[in-house]
Amino acid sequence: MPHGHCYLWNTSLVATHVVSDMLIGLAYVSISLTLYALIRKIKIPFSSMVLSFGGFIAACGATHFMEVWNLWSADYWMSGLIKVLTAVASVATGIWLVRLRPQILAVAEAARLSEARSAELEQMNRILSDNQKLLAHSAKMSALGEMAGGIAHEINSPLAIITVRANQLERLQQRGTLTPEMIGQESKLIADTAKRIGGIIKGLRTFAREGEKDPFEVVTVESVIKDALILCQTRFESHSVSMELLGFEGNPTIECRPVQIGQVVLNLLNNSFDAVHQLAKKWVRLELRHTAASVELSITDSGNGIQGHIRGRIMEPFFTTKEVGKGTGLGLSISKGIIENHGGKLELDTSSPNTRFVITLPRRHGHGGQIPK
Amino acid sequence: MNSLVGKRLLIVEDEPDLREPLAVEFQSLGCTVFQAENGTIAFELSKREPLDVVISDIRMPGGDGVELLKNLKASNYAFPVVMLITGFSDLSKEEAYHLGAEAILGKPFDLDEIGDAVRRILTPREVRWSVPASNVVMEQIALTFSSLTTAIDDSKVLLGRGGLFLHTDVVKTTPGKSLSFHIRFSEGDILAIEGSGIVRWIRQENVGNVRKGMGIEFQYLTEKARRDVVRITDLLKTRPYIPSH
Repeated sequence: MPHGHCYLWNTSLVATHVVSDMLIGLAYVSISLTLYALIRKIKIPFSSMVLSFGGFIAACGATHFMEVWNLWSADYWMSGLIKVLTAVASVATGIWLVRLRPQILAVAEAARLSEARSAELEQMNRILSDNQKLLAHSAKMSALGEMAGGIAHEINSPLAIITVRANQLERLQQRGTLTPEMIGQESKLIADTAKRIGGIIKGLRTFAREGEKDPFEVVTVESVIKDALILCQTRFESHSVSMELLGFEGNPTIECRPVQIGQVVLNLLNNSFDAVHQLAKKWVRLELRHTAASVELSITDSGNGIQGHIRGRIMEPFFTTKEVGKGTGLGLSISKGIIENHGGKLELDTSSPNTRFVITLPRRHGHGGQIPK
Repeated sequence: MNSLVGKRLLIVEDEPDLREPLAVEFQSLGCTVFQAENGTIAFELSKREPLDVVISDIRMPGGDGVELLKNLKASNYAFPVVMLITGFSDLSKEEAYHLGAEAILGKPFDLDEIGDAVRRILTPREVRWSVPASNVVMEQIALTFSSLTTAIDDSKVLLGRGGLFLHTDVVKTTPGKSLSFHIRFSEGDILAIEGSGIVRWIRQENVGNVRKGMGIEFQYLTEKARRDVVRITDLLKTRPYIPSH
């Protein structure tokens, strides 16, 4: 007897059951299909477990379809068989799930751990990047420390000139032999010498500053490298390292962070000094070329270039050939970073017989390098 | 006191703005003044001209002051006396005195300071060390050795032309401070070196065979010690002003 008789063929009751069972069945089937599609698309842990879960749900869906079928045709054996299959699938899935529980918990724990670890990693990355900034700063400070003796000398020498000249004026005045011409001449010399000290201190301040957040300014290339030159000129002279400047006549301008570019030039000059001051031939040449869009500043020294096997490594952080305590190995890597942040390039010219570094910089920042009309 | 009249003096300095007023000053004090812009030129000049004193900068293009000092002292341990002037040098005071510099003057200095320093190093040592320091409270150090010879052999006392090195564990002073010393020997010709001086440098640790201790420049020595030190260092042609090792 079809199941509809139990409902006394009451249309509303039959319709309620038909609609509900069909919807439940369709929902079950669609859930199973979705699970299957998901497993095929992405890797999910315990996918066979999920698959069996899908099978059990599909079977549940089939029992509901049978309910509808049996309203009209009394195929109760078939319905029973499907229920048996559903029971087997659900019991099996249930047992399997219970047995998988520890593994599932382990995976969940692993996921939690990996989340914690990635947070930790993020934290480490932050610390590392802070440390890199600190290191860059301390590298600069240690370069400054190495230069401190030279700078003290460069300041104390003009101070000695001022003191002695002032003493002399006093002596002449005491003897009554001081003429107005002498006063004029000596005071000019004293003022000029004081200005020389001012220049050194300005250069020093420039080098010690961060400069990283400075605004871009339009300045002449010459003014940018002047601060660097002031800081190392006396050191070069006292070790008889000659310095030549070529191509600065046109006074080209660039838009840059002058402090940072000055730091790069000083770094390259210091490297050159370290490399050549004990050679028989010791010279350093700064050469400037420019087009409408870019400037090219090269620093060449009398060294014999960088040997092939270390060429690729010289711009790496911490790579140094200097003896312990002489270099941090950060100078070139920091310099390269600064130049690249300016949209330029810092390269070793391997075609030159001498050691030659070339800085190429766009003349204007953010205008594709061109000077705006 | 004008002990500079007639002295022959060489000023070695690359900055003409400093060298020239110094030359004028020493000429006005009665010296015959020579000038050189670097150590190499100065050494050549010293071969032609007899000199009493050389005042030299350390860092100069074309021949530095340390090289000049070595060259001068290699030719003659005693004369000319050399004073180094320095802005800030790679050479420590310890090394400079060991190489034979009689004085080291830091830039900036004034004309009175440099004049006094030159006068002092040109004063014969017996005269230089004859005035006791007055009314100065200073640290005292008293040491006894079996003899001067064994103390020197053990590197515990080293005698220079202008001072001495003392090996000591206890250092209660700093460079620049005055110190009175009483060094006694149980036997030998010399039974004591007593006087006072200025601590010029301190070495805090033993470095290999080089003992820790301090370098002292003599300011005053007892009459006997004065004669002994001059006699011994002249006899041995001692080069260091204050020995380092």
